[in-house]
Amino acid sequence: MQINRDMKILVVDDFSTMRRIVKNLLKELGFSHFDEADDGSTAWPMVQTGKYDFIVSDWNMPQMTGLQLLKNVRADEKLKATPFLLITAEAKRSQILEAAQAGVDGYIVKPFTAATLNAKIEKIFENVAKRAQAAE
Amino acid sequence: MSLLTQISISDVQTLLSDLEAGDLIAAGAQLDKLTQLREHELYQELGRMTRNLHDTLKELDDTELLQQVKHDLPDVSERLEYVIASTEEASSKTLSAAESVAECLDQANQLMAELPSTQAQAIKPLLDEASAQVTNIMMAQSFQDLTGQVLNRIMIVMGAFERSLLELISRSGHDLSTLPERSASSKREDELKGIGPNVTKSSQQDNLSSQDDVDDLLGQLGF
Repeated sequence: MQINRDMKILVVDDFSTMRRIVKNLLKELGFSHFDEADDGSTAWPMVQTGKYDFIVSDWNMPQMTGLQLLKNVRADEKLKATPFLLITAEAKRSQILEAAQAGVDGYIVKPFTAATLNAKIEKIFENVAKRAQAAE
Repeated sequence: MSLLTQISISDVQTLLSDLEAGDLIAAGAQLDKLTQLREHELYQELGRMTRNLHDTLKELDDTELLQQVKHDLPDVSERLEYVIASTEEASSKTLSAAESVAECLDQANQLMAELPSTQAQAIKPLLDEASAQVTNIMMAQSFQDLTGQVLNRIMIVMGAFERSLLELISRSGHDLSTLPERSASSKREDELKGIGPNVTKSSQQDNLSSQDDVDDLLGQLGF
């Protein structure tokens, strides 16, 4: 399926190393429009502008966690359909269930590979397309 | 004396007969009497524990332990912060280098279009392999995020531990601020053993920061 490579992506992680790695991988996958945030709390006002088509976030951040950011997004009528991918070192069963319940679209455990990221993104946008079709 | 031997059977019987007689006021008073015994015992026990703790703390005049709490514990966080900062710097340098190699490979891929197809076919797998390896180099840098998260957590635990120890020490009547600095001889002993990079504020005192400074000092000494 065809993914819109022009979409605007927000990458959220408190470690600049990881933001850079994710951006480079997304670039390799053909994406080119990114913004960055170093915490859920700084990401949230950016997300609220409504300009992002996809959010890729870490979980464990000092002020606002990625999980809370996800919950905020899902609770907002205008933003709630935004695809949300968590890339995190948190890998407890209960955490993954919690994220699933909060409505995450994909969950990648660090350390991860470029192939995993690619596969999850394809899957996420396949599902997005299916949902759009079902809604028509 | 055990708690049970302090409760007399007659007191309990009195409580029972008051209750049976429906005399709630008398029963209440009797119940209070019984529980007071228990409370009294508890207070005695608590008092004994407090005295024990106090005595133990009074004996806490192991200067080495106090020195460690004053000088070494705060250093631990500072040292871990140094590890996080220096791995971040190293990862960032590696990522910059990898990004620049990726850029070169992109350009090489474009130039390849101008080559005769047999040459292009020979070079293509090499460029692809190089690109894949650049991605591996980038991905390997994620260690910095993962180890950094672990160290951040250790720093939180160490911080709490340090605060508890400080609290305990101040309760024992010791005043860390009056504790003398480490003796010059014990410092020198450590220095002779080797103390690793000087990454804390206190260890940077008297520290030469560059090879030039070291050369200058040795030069002054006639080397």
